[in-house]
Parts: sequence; structure tokens; C-alpha cells
Amino acid sequence: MPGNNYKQIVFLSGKGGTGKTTMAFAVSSLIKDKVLIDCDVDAANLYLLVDPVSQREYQFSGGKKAFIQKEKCNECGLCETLCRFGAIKNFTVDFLNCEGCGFCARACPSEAILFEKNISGSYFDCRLDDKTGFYYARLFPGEGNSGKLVSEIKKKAKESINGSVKYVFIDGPPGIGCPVNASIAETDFVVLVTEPSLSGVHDLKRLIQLLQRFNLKFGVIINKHDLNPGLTSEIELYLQNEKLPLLGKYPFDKRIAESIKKKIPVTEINKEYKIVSENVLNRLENYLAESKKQKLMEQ
Amino acid sequence: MNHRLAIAIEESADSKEKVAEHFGRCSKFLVYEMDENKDIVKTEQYFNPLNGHHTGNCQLPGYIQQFNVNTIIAGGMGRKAVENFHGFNIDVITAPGLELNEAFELFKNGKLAGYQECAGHEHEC
Amino acid sequence: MIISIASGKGGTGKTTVAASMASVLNCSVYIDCDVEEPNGHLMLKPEFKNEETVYKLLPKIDYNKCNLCGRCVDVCEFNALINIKFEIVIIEELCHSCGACSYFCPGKAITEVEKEIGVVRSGMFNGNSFFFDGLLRVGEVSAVPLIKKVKEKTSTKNITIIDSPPGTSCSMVETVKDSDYCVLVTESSPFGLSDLKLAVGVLKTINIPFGVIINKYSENFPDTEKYLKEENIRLLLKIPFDREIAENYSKGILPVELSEKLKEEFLSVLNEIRVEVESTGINAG
Repeated sequence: MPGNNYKQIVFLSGKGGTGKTTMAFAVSSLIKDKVLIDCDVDAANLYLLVDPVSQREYQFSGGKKAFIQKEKCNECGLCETLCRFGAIKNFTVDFLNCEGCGFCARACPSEAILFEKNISGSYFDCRLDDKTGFYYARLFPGEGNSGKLVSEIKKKAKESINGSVKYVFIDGPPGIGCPVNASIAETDFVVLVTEPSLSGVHDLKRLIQLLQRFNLKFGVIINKHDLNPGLTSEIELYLQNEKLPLLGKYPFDKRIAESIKKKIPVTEINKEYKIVSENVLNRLENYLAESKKQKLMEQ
Repeated sequence: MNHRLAIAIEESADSKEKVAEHFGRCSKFLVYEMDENKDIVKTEQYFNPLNGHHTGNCQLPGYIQQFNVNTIIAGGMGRKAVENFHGFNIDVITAPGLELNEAFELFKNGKLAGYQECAGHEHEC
Repeated sequence: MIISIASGKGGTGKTTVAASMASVLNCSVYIDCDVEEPNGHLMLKPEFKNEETVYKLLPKIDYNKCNLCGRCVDVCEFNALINIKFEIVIIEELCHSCGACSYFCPGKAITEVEKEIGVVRSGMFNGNSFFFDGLLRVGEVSAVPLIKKVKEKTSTKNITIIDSPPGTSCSMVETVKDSDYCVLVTESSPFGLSDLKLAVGVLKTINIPFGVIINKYSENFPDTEKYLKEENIRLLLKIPFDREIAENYSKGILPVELSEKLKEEFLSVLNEIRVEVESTGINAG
């Protein structure tokens, strides 16, 4: 990729509520020359922390939808028989159930079915106070193809990256499905944010299973580590055994909610958070440098 | 017979659904079916087949007529489109700048009526 | 009666609420539709009895009959088939199993074969309550087909509590549609409120009655209650933020197991829901 001097870092968690967005904000706030992308297109939150000014809005079409034109329909019922998604009843297409496969439209003997692109979301090219590029998207309720939207917003963000940008920080989507895959494409490093709870650990392991298939470099942040020191130790042991780096541990702090409300990075309300974040960044930079060296040696 | 109302919708940056500034360029059409008490008993959603295209606005009234609606609310509309809707016995209401909820409440209370044809900017009709 | 539990934002306590509701009821059915990251089993600790593999259909090309005309590629909206001149490549992750390629192939060269996408697990908890969840195979990109399968376990006799995945996309809609009532779980934070509004938008579009539970409630964030009041949305319950609850949750202990008061409050909410569902004439099951 031309002009690619930047490193792409994606924050993932598997489970929601571990503090992924807050951590992404905290760590990225320590870097000046960056671009931020919120790839949680289902429920974007990062824009609430950074006060972006939207420069341009783009419409996104994830797929097509079908519509049966009553005047042309002779009610043969073939469409309803063929539709595998239960989207056709009484010669009417249910918008939300329609998968956009076009089967009915192509098969209709009366050519009565309109099949066109549907606007399923939009994404925004924004700037922060300090001119940092910020991108976020909104998938309209009930829509699918969030993976496609993630890919599109990343593409748009990277189009306008100039040589001075050192990092692209991506706040990733939850889960392990298609949008997660799309967010980690071409990434240099994945930061996994977890918490010491049974569900946090369970979801972390599933996410690690996914990431190992892609041969990616990743490390873990344990948030709210003091809520269950026993589980925190278990996680640390697990990471040691799997030879996965522990990037840092943040304590639970009730004041986080306050700082989010006031849009202040947590690094500024809690000294320990600042230190941990700086360490996370240092370790990150070390791993990136190491893997760069490795790559050069392999060539 | 229940009253059926179509509203051309566009989404705004802060995730609120608004009445589309121009009905040909909306992202979807919502249809509310209302009972005698003007409560919503059914909600339907339809895509805008014109999205991305700027021509062919004239065919939209024909498309929307198939939703079996009595009224359409949009932010703005050209003269030909208004004529087409009237030809289908569909009332036209223009309500620029309103959020979806606001527009519906005003309509429910009989405070939203009438239309203004927009002239000038790029209409095919 | 079918009650779904959803939230726009992840981590608000959806599973805690769903599992709590299922556990305070006698002889209930709990279905975990968060097939990418199911957690209900960690809280309800069911005794698993059965595991059923779930498949999706993928096209298979018989090259004895295929003449590489490319019609299948033309009819595939998802770009899951690629014609590389001596072969038609199938990209499994992109296939939505619609059946169009097989139907339109002029040479009848395409059949459909099964591919595993995950499992549906069944078990029992609390003696006589039923537990079901779905576990999506890691690497499988689409959750919806598996969610449809897990939902088949919905009971018409007992109260069914369905735990939804987070977000407002097709997975969530697939989960909550057809339920009699949806409980939205939010938290006292700007993220929670922002995502709550998105979820409310979805439920209104699909016409499902709903109410809200504010979990990790804090008086320092009154915006949520203000919003609920303005929109005339029923506030079912406020569960105050409590570090002890958080610590116990991390160990897999439900808050209702420790607080008789909370147990009563959940039963009361369930009753409120039942009354509302029955009064709107929907079959309570």
C-alpha cells in the first residue's frame, strides 16, 4: 500500500462492556499523529467521547431488497415457495426478513418483482479539535452486512491518510463474526480487552481461537482486574502458557463513568491509568518493532 | 378503514430519524397504519429503489401507491410528483426539518397539513 | 409467553437479567441466542443433556455436468461464486444458502451439501427448567441461521426467556421478533443511553411491546430516566450499581441468588409484563 508508514491497531473484546472503547480512547489519546475509526457500526460509541465535527456523510448500501409490484403480480405463488428466508407471505415481501438474494425476482414469471439497492447505513468522515481524522458509521436498525460497512469505512479512512500519520486506532465490534473479521484485515496488532469474570474469560478464549487462525499478533489488557484477583491470576497464567503478551492491567474505578460523561480520557482522571496506558503503548511499540525485525530477517 | 400514512425517512448524524428533505432521496419509507384512536397498529418498512439515482422521481408515486397509503409526508416534493400522488388519491404533506416522532405527533393531532411544492433544484419531474 | 431480553450496548447486564428471570421462575425455558459469545450457561450452570449439530447448505458443482457458463455467478448476489475459467470457486463464508445458483444452473450441475455452522445444546437447570443455547463455530461469519435453529426450542407451554446478542443488527432482530415482549437492559452511562435509543428504534419498527431495566444504576446519570419519561417508555426496574454484585457476577453468581429483595422485584416485573401482554390480547401461552 503506497505511503503506508502507519501501524494499524484494533481493539477487540469478544464480550461487551469490558471497557474496549474506553481503553481504545485512553491509549490513542497518548498519540498525536493518528486516525481513529469506530468499527462498531452496530452501536457506535467512540464518537460520544471525542466530539467529532462531521465533514461529509456517505450512504452505504449493504445489499438489495425485493418488492412485489401488485399490478404485475398474477399471484402464482412461486416466489413464496422459493424464498428460504420466510420473507414472502401473501405476495408481499417482508422488508426485515428479506435477505436480498434476488432469487424471487429472477424466478418470477411475470417479472413483477422490483429488486434494488437498499440504503442500509451511513458513515461519517469527521475531524476532531486537533484535526485528527475520525470515522464512524451507523448501520440502520435491523440491517445486516455490517462486515461490508466495516470494510467500506476503513477504506474511506485510509484514502485520506497522509504521511504524518503514525497510527490508525480501530475500536472494533463485539463478537467473533463477520464484522470482527473485517475490522482485523490488514492489522498490525490486536489489543484484546478483557475483564476477570467467567464470561469475560470464556469470550476471550473464543476470540483468541479466532485470531489464531489468522496468524495475527495480539496482546491482552485486563480491565477491572481487582474485581476478581483470583480470575485475574488465572488469566495471567493462561496468557503465559499460550505465550501471549499481557499489555497491562487497569483497576476498577467508579470515576470512569464520570470521565466518559465529561469526555475526558481516563488517563487524565486516574494517574495509574496514565501509567498503565503508557506502558501498554510502550509494549505495543516494542512488539511492533520486534515483528518488523522478524519480517526483515525472514526476507 | 384504517388510515395508512407513509413517511419518507432519512437518518441524521445523531441517529435520529428525520422526515427526508426531499422524498426522492430518502433512505426508506415507513408506513404507519393507524386505528380510529390514531394509535399505530402496524409498522411497515420499504426501501427506496431510487437510491443513488437522481432520475426517475416520477416513478416513485407509482411505487408508493402500492403500499396502499392515504397520505405521504416528506420534506419537499416537486410539482409533478404532487400531481401524481393526487392522481392516486394520496394526500401530500410537506414537513421539512421535522424529526420522525415530532412529525407523527403533529399529524396525529391534526396540526400537520398542506404542502409546498419545491421549485428549482434538480428535479426530473 | 415469550420474553426477549436485549440491549443496544453490550455489557449492560442482559444475560444477568435474562438468567435471573429464568431462575426465579418455576419450570421456565431459557434460550441463549447470543451464539457468537453465549454466557447464560456460566450463570445458570445447566446439566447438559444433548448437543445437536446445525448445518447450512453450500453449493457443490458436478464438473461432469458443468460447462462453466457462469450463470450461477450471475445470479449470486453475494459474490460467493467466482468463475476462474477452468473452475467455479465457492467462497463458503460469503454464501447465504439462498439456493438460486442450483435453481438457475442450466445443466443441473449444482447440488447442495451440508456444512456445519455450530451446535444447539440442551440441558436442565434448577431441577425442572429447560436450558438451550447455540454455539457458533469459530470462523463462521453469520449467526442468523443458527439463531433461527435455537429459537425453535421456544415453548408454548412455559414462559420462555430469550437472551439476545448485543447490538441492533439482523442478529438481534432475528432473536427478538415474534416475542410477546422485549426487555431492554441499559446502564447509567452515555454509551448505554445512546445504544438504548437505537434499540428502541428497532423495537418500534417491528412493533414489539417493550420496557426498560436500568442496570448498574447511578443517580449521577439522570439522562436515561429523563429520556424514558419523555418517550413514555415503561421503566420496569432499577438495579443500583453495586461492587459486590459485580464481584459475584464475575464468579458466575446471579444477584438474585444473594438478594431475596431482588428476587421479589424480578417476580414483580415478570408479573407486570404478563399483565401488559395479556391486556393487549396477545396469547400469553
